[in-house]
Amino acid sequence: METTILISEFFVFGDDFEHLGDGTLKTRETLEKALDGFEFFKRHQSLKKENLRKLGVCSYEAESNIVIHAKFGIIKTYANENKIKTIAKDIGPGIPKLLLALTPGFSTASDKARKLGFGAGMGLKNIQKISDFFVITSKFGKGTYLTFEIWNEEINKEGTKMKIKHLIKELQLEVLTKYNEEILEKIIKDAYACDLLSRVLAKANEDSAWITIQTNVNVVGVAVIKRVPIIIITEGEFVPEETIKKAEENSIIIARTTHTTFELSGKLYTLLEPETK
Amino acid sequence: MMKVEEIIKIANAEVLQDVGNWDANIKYGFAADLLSDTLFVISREEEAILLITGVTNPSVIKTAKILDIPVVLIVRGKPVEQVTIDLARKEKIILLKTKHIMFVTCGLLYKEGLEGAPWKLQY
Repeated sequence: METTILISEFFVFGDDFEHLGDGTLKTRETLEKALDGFEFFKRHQSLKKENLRKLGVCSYEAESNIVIHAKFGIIKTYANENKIKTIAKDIGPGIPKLLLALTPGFSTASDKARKLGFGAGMGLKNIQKISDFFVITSKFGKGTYLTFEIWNEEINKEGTKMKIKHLIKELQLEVLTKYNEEILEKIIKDAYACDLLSRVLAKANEDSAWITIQTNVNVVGVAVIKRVPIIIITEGEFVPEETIKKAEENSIIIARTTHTTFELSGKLYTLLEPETK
Repeated sequence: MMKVEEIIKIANAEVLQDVGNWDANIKYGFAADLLSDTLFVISREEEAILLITGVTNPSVIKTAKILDIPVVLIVRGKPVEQVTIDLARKEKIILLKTKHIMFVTCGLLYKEGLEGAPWKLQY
């Protein structure tokens, strides 16, 4: 039995550069004390320090994003024996082009933010890089909802490496569907790259990842029939709302990458066959 | 590896705030004026990093604290806001200031053996 506790909850106001970082520092301080109570960290003291730093950086990035871009936001951090999880929600302009926002160096920060040393345009990418799990959804004109997790795992990942959650992390995929913890634990044994639905229907295996540029709602239907738990959309292709909704209903993850099918297949291949590295 | 005293000597720095870990063995240096850039360089190693910057507002201390950076060196002899100094004292981060520009500061410290912070960025 694991108990998840709320470590901290703080509000962030747009343009409030003066207090930027205070919430994160407070969270870190509280978390440091809370983690002492977890058996896991009694055994792994150095990991505790590292995870605190990771959380600090990610939370600080999320906080500064709200200060720079949004009117108002809230950041909540939870922890249990297995992970630290943070949710950052804001009322703001939203991110019209998420993939662009995940490109290092791209920034729409104001001159004021830059003068104060922020707005290098790396925040989201940084969170994605550092955290073990990262999901962002954004509605243009409404706001952004960001979730990231830091896992309290021993560095030795052998045997667990190709769970869906590891696959998402290793390939730095952008997850488009709301996820369910159970699917993340599923193990991926191989992958099938194909854009022809009929071919996939004939050939794809259960428990494989499907790599395609097709984004119409029919892909979900095929995935359901073939029991494919994750569809990876390449080349940053736009995915219609309808497809995402249907995937969520059927507990299928849709994740996206800017890489081409060739590149992604290559990367995934080396991940699934570590000895060929 | 360098002690804070050596950094002060080499960079001809003045101590603005002296509460902190004077025994830290500083292995790496990192210079930036964009704090978000600094956040991107997170080291998994435990060795201490010296942050060299021209930013003087309290964010610099918060950034250092979050990254476990024990010493911050302000360049170009910029006047440092009192709130920054106070925060550094509270967070136990040693705050130094030098009249040299960033380039010269980096050069002097590099020549004496301070290494560049490990750069694990993948674009």
